Amino acid sequence: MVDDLASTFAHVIANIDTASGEGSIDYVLPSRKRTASNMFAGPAPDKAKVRLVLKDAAGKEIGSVRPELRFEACDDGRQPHRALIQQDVELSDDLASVALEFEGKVVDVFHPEPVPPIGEQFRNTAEWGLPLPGNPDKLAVGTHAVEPQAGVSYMVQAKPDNSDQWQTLSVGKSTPDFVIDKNQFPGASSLDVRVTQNAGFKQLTVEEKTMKLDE
Amino acid sequence: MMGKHENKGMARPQIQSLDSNPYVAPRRRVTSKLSGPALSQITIQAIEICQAIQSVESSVTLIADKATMVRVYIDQTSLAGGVQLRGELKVRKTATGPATYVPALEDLAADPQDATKLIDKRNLTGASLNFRLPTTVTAAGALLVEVNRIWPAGGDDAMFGGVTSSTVEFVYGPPLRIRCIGLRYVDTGTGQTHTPDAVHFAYLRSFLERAYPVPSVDWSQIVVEANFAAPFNDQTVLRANAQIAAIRSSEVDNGMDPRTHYLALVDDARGRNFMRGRAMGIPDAAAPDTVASAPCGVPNGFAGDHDLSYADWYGAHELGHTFGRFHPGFPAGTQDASDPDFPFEEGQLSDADQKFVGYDLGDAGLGIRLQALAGTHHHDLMTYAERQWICAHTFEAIRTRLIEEDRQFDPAIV
Ligand SMILES: [Zn+2]
Repeated sequence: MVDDLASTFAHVIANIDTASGEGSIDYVLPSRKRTASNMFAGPAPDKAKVRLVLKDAAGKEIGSVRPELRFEACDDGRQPHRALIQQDVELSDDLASVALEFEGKVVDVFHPEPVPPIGEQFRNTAEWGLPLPGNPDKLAVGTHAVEPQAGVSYMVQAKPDNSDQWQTLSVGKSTPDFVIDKNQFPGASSLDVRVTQNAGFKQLTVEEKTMKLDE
Repeated sequence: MMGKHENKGMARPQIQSLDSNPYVAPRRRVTSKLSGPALSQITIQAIEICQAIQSVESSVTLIADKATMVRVYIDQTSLAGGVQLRGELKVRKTATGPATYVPALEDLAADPQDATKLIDKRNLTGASLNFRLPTTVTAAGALLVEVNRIWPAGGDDAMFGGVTSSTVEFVYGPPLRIRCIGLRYVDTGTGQTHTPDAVHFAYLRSFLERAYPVPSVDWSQIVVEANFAAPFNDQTVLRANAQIAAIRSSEVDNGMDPRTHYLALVDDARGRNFMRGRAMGIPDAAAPDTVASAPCGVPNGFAGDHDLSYADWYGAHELGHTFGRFHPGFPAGTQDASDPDFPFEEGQLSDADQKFVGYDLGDAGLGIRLQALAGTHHHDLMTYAERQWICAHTFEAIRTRLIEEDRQFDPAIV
């Protein structure tokens, strides 16, 4: 791996249906800073209907938050009951898993496995900008050689040479193989492309390269 | 409607002395005997300074650096005969400051037989002299607007009285920061891939610039692969919103302005895959991370819309939720009435008194023309009713929320 991005938070995106109790943890994204607007979600009181429970490797609760439930609008005029959770949780060295709980019952758990490094395998097998057959505007990036693993996902970001902003093209993918559509970067002549592994609560840059777009 | 001045067929004077050649001397207007009917004094009924929505008293807040039009209403019954009237404004930030002179967009075809009431003239852009203010004069602060000249085409300046000036205040408003993400998906039934057409992004962006209480839209867009496929089910919109929430988090972690609102567009595949839009939350305090998703496609009369895209008002509705706007409850029975403070009957832009008129100042790049939108015929964009535009209630509320977001999440402070 090239770099440990020294994450101090994880942004947990989950959904919960407060009528049925069904839900899931959809994304856990390590981040260097808070990315949610609700900066001060309080600790979860024991009776809170929905909790994100932080546990150590032994399964012991080491913290919890009562996430803000963002109920859907435009839902046929009924009482909305499906909610999105966009919650930053602070990372600690002990943190091993995050559980989504509804009325005391575990709905879903994010419990990453230990991750072997993939950097060398990636570098040996990855494509960087190979045009797709019959579609020269679409460029393959990454490799199909890496197997999916629980708690591990991949993200590809790009920064065209006419912008300062890294743009996320794919997030939460179980394997590091991507397609980049160069028409999404009008006016650019080259593109910095970064493949990142979100491994549990760590974010690692797998590789970063510059691709020419006008060839 | 926003066209250039036209000489409506009035002949140039035949006797033209050398010194009236525009290359050697200032152009002189023709003598009165060659002009139209003699004018008695013209009475100006009102001066209205309008952006997206306005009352004749100009009571709706004017946003600094937003496209602005001035309407000058003339009592045509005071004229001696039919005449093409032209006008010029003099506008100044202060009474002693430098003035800018602004010509009317078009002539007013004035007719003494025309006794249209002011209240009705407001619904017709052709019933007033209209002026587009240059951006140099719409900066935050006061603006003194005076009628400088009115004259019949080819004639001398006319005398005028009545309401000849108006002073208004332009107020700073932050830009609307939008990242619009097209989600490209595969329909497993047909094998086809569906991507929002460029027109949907363009219409939404333009609509937000025209209708929202903002000077400008800081816009970026991209198309990425959706993490869902068609046929859609009731989970699809949740997956769309979770996906753009994830994209947002990773981009904010990499320097995106945390005040940026993220909105997904999902193409309706000519009606085959319609994903009903959803905002995930109606925050009661500033929360620019609230995400929303909207369908896009060709309206074919959907909600009274016959142009090239319904992504404009539909997206503006879902974004309205992300700024804390609830449903007014109209048409009754089709949506919850969760905004108890919504002031206008039937979700309209105005009550029957027609106090408020919507103004779409148009977008030449998209061929959208200047229009006055009758307040009792159009509906607020937070309703589900036909012919949507923004009402003063929604305009002011989003304006206030934008200021709160701008301050609270200024990246220089956080
Ligand atoms: Zn709604």
